[in-house]
Amino acid sequence: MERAGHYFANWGEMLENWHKKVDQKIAELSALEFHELPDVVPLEWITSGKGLDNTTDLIDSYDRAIELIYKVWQYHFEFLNLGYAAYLDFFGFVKETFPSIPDQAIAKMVQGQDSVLFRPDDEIKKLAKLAVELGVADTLKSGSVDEALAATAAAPNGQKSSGWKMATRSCARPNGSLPNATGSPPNTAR
Amino acid sequence: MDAQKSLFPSPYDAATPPGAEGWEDLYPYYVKFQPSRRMEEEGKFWFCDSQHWPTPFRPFDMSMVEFATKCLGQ
Repeated sequence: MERAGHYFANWGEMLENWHKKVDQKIAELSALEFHELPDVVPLEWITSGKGLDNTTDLIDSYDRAIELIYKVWQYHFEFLNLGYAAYLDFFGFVKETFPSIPDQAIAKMVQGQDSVLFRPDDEIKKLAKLAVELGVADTLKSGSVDEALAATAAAPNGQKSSGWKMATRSCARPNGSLPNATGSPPNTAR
Repeated sequence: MDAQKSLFPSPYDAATPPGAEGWEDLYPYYVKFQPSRRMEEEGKFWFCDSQHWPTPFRPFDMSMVEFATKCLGQ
């Protein structure tokens, strides 16, 4: 219990720090830039004897992206397995104390846990309901994201449907990408 | 789930969808079912985790699978 116990004893503080660590990695990932390769390198790269071409930055950013993803996967499991272990421990304790209790009853005791993992799914459901309410559901289903949002804004309910666009933006990450509803890779949109 | 046999279908019996022939060559050996391990693997409980991984992995995305499985067991 020396290792897992440390986490359980300091859960709040360590989880708060986890959010900071993951947000930092997401920010670093979002800041990466990938540019189309030019036909030739800038002339000053030749005259200065730089000796490298544009694929260097491309490969550096690629390597950095892979490295960041690897770190985020480690953070993902930093708390996940502890949560499952705690649930298993709780499950075993309850079963031992109340042998006739159904598994489902124990599961219900921990339901309603507020986790950022469920946020993307909740947001998508809210947006879907809003789209139906505003009568823009069909418009949203055709074309690319930009096309669908533009068509939605131009729809008869345009004024109100801009609410859908705003709602979309409110749950989007700072870089404009939408949360992944499966929650995998781990999503930390808050 | 196969209602006749009350078993999940064996991955060894999964047919390659038309147009995807040769997909095996795009993936490293250690993420594929190995015919030489069929007896051992079919003797264990397993299932397709389509909740976390609903669509096939593109070869390029395999590092995600490697990171996930490595980090799960760390």
